[in-house]
Formats: sequence, C-alpha cells, structure tokens
Amino acid sequence: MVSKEGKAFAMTILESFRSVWEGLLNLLPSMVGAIVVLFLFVIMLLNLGHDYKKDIRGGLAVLLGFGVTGSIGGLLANQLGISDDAWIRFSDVGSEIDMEVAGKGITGVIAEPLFTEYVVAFEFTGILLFVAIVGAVALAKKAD
Amino acid sequence: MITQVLFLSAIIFVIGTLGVIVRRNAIIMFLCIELQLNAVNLAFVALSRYAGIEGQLFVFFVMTVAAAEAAVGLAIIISIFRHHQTVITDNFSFLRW
Repeated sequence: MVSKEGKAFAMTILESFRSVWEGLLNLLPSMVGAIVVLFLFVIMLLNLGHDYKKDIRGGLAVLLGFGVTGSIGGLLANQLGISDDAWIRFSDVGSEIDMEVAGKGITGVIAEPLFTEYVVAFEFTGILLFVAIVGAVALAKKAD
Repeated sequence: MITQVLFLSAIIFVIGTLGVIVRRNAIIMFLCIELQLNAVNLAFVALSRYAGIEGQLFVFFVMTVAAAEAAVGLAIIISIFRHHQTVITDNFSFLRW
C-alpha cells in the first residue's frame, strides 16, 4: 500500500514535470526545424565510421584550448562568487515582471516591447534573415 | 537560483569554446559556436529576472542572428565540401597564412 504522503509527493513530482513539459512544448516548434536540418547536415558531413580521433587536435592546440577555457572558466567562477544578497536589490524587477505576466500573459509581455520600442531592430532582423537566405542559396548552389 | 543558472551557462560556454579550439571538423566547430550562443542566451534569460524583460527580448535577436549565421555557415561548409571532399579544417589552407 502506498501511504497518503507518498501519493501526495508523487503528485507534486508529476505536477512539476507537467509544468516543465508545458514550457518545453512552447519552445519546441520554433527550434525543432532548425535542429533537424542541422542534424541531417551533421550525419552527412560528420564522416561517421572513420577514425574520429584525428578529428581532435593534439599538442599545442589542446594546451591553448585548456588554457583559454580554463581562464574563461576561472574568470566566470570568480564573478559567480557574488553572493545571492547582491542580487536581492534587483529583485523588485522580478515581481514587476510577474505582475505584467499575470495581466498580459507571457507572450504579450515580450511582444509589446518587440513591436513598439524595438520595432526597428525587429525589421532589420527580417532584412538580415532575407539577405542570409539569399546568400546561403547563392553559396550552396552548384556552380555552372 | 540565479547562481546555478549562470554556472550552467558558464559550463556550456566553456565546453563550446573548448570544442571550437580543439576539434578539427568544421561541423563540430560550428555546433560549438551554437553552443556558445545558447549559453549566452541562457545567461540573458536568467538575468532578465533581475534586469527587466529586455533580457528575454534580446534572446530573440540572438536566435535570429544565429539562424542567419547557421544558414550562411552551412552553405560555406557545403561549398568547401564540394571543392575538397572533406570538412576537416587542416586540409584547406586558403585564407590562412
């Protein structure tokens, strides 16, 4: 027999999984197409079945790699040493966002500044994507 | 919470940097650049909790620039593959001293 507390605990776990899953569902359609296409390219060009060890650089590059990433990591870890108290003075922004989300919904909260304050950047993004797709087709098509 | 998310973001960014420097396959390097971009996105979203909704807004712009970069980058890799039959970066040395 499962105890009442156990059942309640399981329900809480399920509930939290459900909310995470719903969040993922919102994100999924926008990224899934790009990722599937990228995955196809990877399978095509990754040269699977061959010795992949020659894909990893040796000697100086590894040293340089670990040096650079180590210093980046150390720098970031140093910055992360800031205690949670330092963040608290900003925390009213979080509750402001919560209130706006309760009023307009998360889509409205993000979309409103996107189409008012940042509309020029938004339009330029469209131009950028257009130019990029034209460039990609021009680069990838077979030369005559 | 913010510290953990920023820590995860830092780890992902470092993995991406290491991949770009250490691997030879252009596709893998490309994926690692995407990893770096998404690590920064994660940091933006985490910090938007403390600095305003603009953090989440900016992620959209980063994503679109990343998409444009992916399109052009993959096209370049394809055209390199056509010329050299490989995407291992040691095998082609144009634009290199």
